[in-house]
Amino acid sequence: MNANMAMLLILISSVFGAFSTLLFKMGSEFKMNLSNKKMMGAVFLAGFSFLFYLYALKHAPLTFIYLIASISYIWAVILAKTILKEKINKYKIAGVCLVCMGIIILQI
Amino acid sequence: MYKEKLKQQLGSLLQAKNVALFSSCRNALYTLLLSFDLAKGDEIIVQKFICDSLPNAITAAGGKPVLVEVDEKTFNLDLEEVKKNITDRTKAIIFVHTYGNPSGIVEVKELCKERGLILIEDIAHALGASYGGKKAGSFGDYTVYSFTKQLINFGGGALITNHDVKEIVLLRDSLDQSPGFMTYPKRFMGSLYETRAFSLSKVLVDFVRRKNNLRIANDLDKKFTCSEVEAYLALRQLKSLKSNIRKRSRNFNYLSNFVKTQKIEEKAQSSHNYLSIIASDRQKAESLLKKSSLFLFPWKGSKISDKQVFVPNSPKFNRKKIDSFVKENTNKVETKKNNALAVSLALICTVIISVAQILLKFGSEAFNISLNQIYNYPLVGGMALYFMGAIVLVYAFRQGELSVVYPVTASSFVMVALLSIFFLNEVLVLEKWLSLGLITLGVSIVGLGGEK
Repeated sequence: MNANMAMLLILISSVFGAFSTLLFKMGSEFKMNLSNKKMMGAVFLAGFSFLFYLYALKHAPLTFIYLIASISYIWAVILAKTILKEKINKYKIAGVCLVCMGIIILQI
Repeated sequence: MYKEKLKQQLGSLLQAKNVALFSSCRNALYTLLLSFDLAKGDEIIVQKFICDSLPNAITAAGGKPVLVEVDEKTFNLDLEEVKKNITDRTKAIIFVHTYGNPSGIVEVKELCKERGLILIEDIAHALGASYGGKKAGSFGDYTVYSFTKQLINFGGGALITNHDVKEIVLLRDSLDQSPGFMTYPKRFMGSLYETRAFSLSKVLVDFVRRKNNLRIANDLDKKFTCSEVEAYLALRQLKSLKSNIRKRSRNFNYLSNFVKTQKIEEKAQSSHNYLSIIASDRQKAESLLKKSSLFLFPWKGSKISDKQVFVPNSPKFNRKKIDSFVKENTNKVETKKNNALAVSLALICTVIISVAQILLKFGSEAFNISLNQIYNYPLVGGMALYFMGAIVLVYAFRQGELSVVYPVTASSFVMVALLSIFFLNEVLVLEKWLSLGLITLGVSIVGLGGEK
């Protein structure tokens, strides 16, 4: 397995993670029980995300992993805008960019 | 032994002299029709709104099923339609107590008397129902019953009548073969869904239905006789039938406060085996279907098929469950949105999760795969804290927006770094401090953004 493949795995992991977070948010508006399908879906997707992450962890350079992991925050904002129709203002965008930069520098 | 007891009990319930046990309701009907020695072209009237297995049994016995529309309200045979369809070749009318509703039985019985036709009652759903104090199943010349609709069972059915059954029993035994491989599991799953109605059982039933779009599902069984096990199970559950019907009636009455449902005539006491909701059109019915994972569309082919959804009426349903069928999102939690509270909760969550991470790091040093890990307190504690953190996060999400709460959780990077300095004696270089500053600044700005 080469680095590209590992990158792909991490990307898949981050997409799963992002949708897991989205479902978690949607599910949080309902009562917490086993019939809360969104929440159950979130747990399921998080598990998937984690599996891909573990697999990639074996093969990819660590810096790549954190680089892409930090993208999860950008994913969250995109999903919030497109699916949940949340308002995204300058503050949110600037804040998320700073957070991502911080995470990348922290791990390099 | 159990078979004899069951025969006695069914006989006394319906005040009938003779009971013959079968492997299923449809096989009972088939054997009965076979004993009539139907000539080619002899017609049997049955309602259009019915499981294919009935017409199939009629055809197999050499008769011609004449499918007649049902009353839109009661879902039972429409008397006028029946009258239109009676011909010189009509031998018998099968009256189905749809979903347990005996409405209309008296009129059909009178019609049969007048025209000299045999009346067969199908009480698969309706044991325990009555009309004007007379039990459903005691009106007709013959009555067929299934053990898998009101009861949980692997199979079994009965023919109940005041006529002689010796010949029919002989015929039954001569037809008997060993059962097909999947017969019992399929029937058991179906019966589980029809009596208890939970999501998983519906998924299984759906699966079997789709797999058997082949007509096998509604064909006759090779086996014709009832086994002791089936008789025992039926006997056991007949004891609680009365109280179950009481609970089902309670559910029906509650549901009928909110929606248009099956009409039960004044004199009739239905056993309410299914709860149905009548919609104005197919589209409305589909939207109802989406509301609860338990609903199904009923038998196809009739004018009411598309406008109705049903759910097996489990005695375990309560008001809350029924509310969820008819009301919007009763599980939704009403909260006032409060971004400041959401951010605070998200921060509390990250503190908890950061402590959890440090504990897990300690715990992982002593980690191996064995049972004594339950004494690995940092590991267990770390996992418990993780779970707590997730709960707090739920509340944070409830209060605020995804685009605020989620970025705020990035502050866990800062917390973990700080905690590592104190507890793991790690040393941070200048760039790391800089990056922690960036994250903190970013989180603060996002938090502010939520306020705007």
